Amino acid sequence: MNSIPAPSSYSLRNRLVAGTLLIVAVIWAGVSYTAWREALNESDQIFDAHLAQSADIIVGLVGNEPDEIASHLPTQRYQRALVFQVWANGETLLARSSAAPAKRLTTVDNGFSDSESGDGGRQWRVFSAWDAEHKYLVQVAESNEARRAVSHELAEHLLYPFAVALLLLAIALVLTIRAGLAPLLALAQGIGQRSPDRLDAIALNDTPRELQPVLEQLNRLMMRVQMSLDTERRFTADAAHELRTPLAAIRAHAQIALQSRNDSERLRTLQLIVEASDHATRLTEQLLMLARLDSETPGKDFVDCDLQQLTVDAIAQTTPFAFDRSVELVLTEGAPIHLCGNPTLLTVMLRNLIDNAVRYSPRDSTVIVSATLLPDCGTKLEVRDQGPGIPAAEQQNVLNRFTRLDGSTQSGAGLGLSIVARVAEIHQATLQLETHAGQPGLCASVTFPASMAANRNPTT
Amino acid sequence: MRLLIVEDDRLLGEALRTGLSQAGFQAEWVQDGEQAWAALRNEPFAAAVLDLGLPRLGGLELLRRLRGDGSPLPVLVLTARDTARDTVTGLDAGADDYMTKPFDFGELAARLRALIRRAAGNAAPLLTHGTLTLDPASRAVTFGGNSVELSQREFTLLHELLLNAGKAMTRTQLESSLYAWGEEVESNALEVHIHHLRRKLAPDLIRTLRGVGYMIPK
Repeated sequence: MNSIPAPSSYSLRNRLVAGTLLIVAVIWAGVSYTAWREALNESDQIFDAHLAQSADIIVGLVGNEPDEIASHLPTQRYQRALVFQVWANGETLLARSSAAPAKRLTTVDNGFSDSESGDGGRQWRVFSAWDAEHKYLVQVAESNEARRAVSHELAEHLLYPFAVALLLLAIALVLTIRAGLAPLLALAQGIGQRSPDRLDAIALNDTPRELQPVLEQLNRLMMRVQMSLDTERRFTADAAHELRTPLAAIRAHAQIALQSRNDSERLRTLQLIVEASDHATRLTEQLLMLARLDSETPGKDFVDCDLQQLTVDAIAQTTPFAFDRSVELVLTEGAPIHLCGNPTLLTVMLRNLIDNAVRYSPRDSTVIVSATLLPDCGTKLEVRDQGPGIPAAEQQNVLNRFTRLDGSTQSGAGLGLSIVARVAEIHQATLQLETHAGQPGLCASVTFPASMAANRNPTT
Repeated sequence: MRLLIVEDDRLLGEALRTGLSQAGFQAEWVQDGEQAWAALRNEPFAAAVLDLGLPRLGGLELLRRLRGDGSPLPVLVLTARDTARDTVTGLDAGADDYMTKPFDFGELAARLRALIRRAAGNAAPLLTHGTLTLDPASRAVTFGGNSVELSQREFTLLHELLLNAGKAMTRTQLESSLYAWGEEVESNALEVHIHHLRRKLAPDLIRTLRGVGYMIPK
């Protein structure tokens, strides 16, 4: 799996290599420069020592032929550039080497000096010395040009391995960094090759310590994804399961109707088919609603809405159903209550609450709906019925999807309260189910916090 | 043949009761596991159709309890859960057969007949006794090569006796296979049906065991 890096991304490896190489190169350059200077300096001293040594020898040989003198000078690799002059009393040139100028090399007559001789502007490094009786002056010289050539050659010999070493070091660095970062690449590849189903934790034991915080977070994330995937899968499986039962009922009744030879039986069966279809439809609607609610983000499409008015609308929509069951719906009237919320979802919540209450109410009973403003500016919505209620132990349980109370005789898939709970969650509200001892019925209440109140008339 | 249907969904339960009655079973229907357990302990059933997602006592738990009690009752699990693992779990818990919803009534009835036949130690689909043959699937009876017209109750009675050929069947056992719960049992109805069977088939086919009931000898 290759991916094109984002324009702002960078390579850790390249950064490391470039950074390390830069530092090494700078230090290397400094060291080389110092070494170069040192080499030149050192060679100067060696050459000077050589000049002085040569002068000593010549002083001892004064009187001999120049060629003979030359043959006595210490044989050295660089000697060819050496010239000498022997002056009597410092005035008469007694002898000189063939390459030496005829003019005196320098007026300085003792020790080292630099001089410019007349012919051709050649520069010389000269050492002058007198013999013991101070009769002859010997001057030995070396042309600066030759000296420089030699010392540069020396320094270059020194720097050459330095350059090669730098190159080798660079290669070694690149390889080491690459090897060091290999676990990172291997890890990336391992993660890249995972199928979306493989969300098990990445083993931490053979990964570098520096990567472990990242991996731990990644593992934690994968665990959360796995959990939400599991929930989703369970929900899908449950949904399919729940849809199969009404479908089976429809098919079974249809088969019965086909085989029935009795008109009244066939009619009854057809009515049951309609009923089972209604059940399947309701279930599908609830499933779609839940799927929609799951992806709903709190705060989206929130507007200022009047809870009182929404309640009136929801009661109006549920009235035919309540009428069929001889259940009376009563709304405790009050002033408009402004809430910040999604009116569509709030209506769905209200309808589900009222629908549930009616469904579990005995005939000829009353369902009381009220919306009240709390002292802390929160809002409380209550739906109270006279049905069997929900035992305290089951109250948390019924909020789970597809959970229905044991012995429940009403058709339904146990999604109504899950929908209510989810809408409440989106509105930061809390759903509470209460059954008071000795008092029939269930009181379902949704409490919206004061922060959800829409301040239409801000208090001044 | 009496069947116990255990299904919590009202509409499907009703469909099962009606459909299986149409197919010639005596079908009783309960909506939760505890009721099913009570019914199975107290009354004879030829087989049970069991949903797994039941309130109060789950289907699998009921099955385990039933098998733990040593009951050989043929049980067909009818459920919406259709993965191989669900099937394995169901069969391992003691189910004899497994069908997923939605189902076909013809297939359900045929599987139930096969289960009941097997439980009675009979592999052949046709029950035969001398020249008498009874086909539980088509509900056809022939005797000496001629087809015989029987009423639903007469057929059920003959089927029950043939399934248990060689065994004495008490009046109570036979009556419970004929009448559903809440149905009025006329005091001499059983004798009347036996009389009709003897007249339509052969007088000596069904033996009377005085004070006990009836049997068809092997």
